[in-house]
Amino acid sequence: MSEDESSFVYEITVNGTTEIKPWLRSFGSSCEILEPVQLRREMIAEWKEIRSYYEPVRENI
Amino acid sequence: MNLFEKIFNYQLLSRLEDSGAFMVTSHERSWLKTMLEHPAAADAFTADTLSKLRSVLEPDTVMDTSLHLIEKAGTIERQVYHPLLRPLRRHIMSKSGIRMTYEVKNGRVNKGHAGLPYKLEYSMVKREWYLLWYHTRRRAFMSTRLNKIHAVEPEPLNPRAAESMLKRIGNVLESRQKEVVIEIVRAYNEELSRILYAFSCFEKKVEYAADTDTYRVTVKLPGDEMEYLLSKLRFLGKRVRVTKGDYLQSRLLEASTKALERYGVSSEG
Repeated sequence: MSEDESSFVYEITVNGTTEIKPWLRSFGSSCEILEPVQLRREMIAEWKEIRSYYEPVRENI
Repeated sequence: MNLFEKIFNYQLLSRLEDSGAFMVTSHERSWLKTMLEHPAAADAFTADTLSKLRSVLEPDTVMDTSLHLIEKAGTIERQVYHPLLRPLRRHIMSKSGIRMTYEVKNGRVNKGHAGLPYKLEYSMVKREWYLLWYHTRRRAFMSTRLNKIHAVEPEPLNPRAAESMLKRIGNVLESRQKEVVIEIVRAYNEELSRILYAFSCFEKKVEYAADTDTYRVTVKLPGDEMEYLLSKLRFLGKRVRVTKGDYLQSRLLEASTKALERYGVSSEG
């Protein structure tokens, strides 16, 4: 675990990533998953999906 | 179970309900017996009720959770049952006034203030009980932690005055309510019970539209509880979509945009 003034890196051992995802999401943009890459990808995909729900429809210019 | 059995069971259950009786399973009985061993049980029941419950549960076994459960990283249990809950609930039910001595933020003590209590509320965030009451002289809506109450006594109040005060309180509180509509994204219909569980502490109405196979949850809540609902929505992620509620929609857009920026994904991505 490493730490500086604005952030810290947190390592946690879990049995699977499914159950920890809601908890990680609840931190919103204050948390970034560094690894495993698969979970990082899943989280990006999930945030994209959430953003698409609320994004104003862009007009074609 | 066949249809006739179902009808029979339903009739049996509704008859039991009419007679004021209810059924408990042996699991529930042994759970209750275990709970009665908690130190807070002495505050939660009168001595009479407690000894009656204990004698009724005599033949049941205590649930030994230590064999199967290890609690890790639990939050500190500050308050299970506050001794003031019972008397305050009685005052609320009998629409009685109160005279109360309580501590305010800077440690100052307000002595013998008169008011009308109307609700006991448990904060899921602070994990503590609050009394919501109307301060008669200041005409203000108060929220006081039970832990900050030094003394409280009932004070007779003209029933008609109490009625009209409660009506006014109800109207003001109603006007502060906000309505939010949350749609469950159809692909996650299977997770319905889990999703609804996340909203279990809110006043809500669930509707199902058969033509589109969609569940819609209408939540009514006071404006100051929006942040708590927001945390639940972030928790559920893409399973739900807010279809009515400008504030929540903008906050969720903000959270997702900022999170993606952190991952280095631009808004065009």
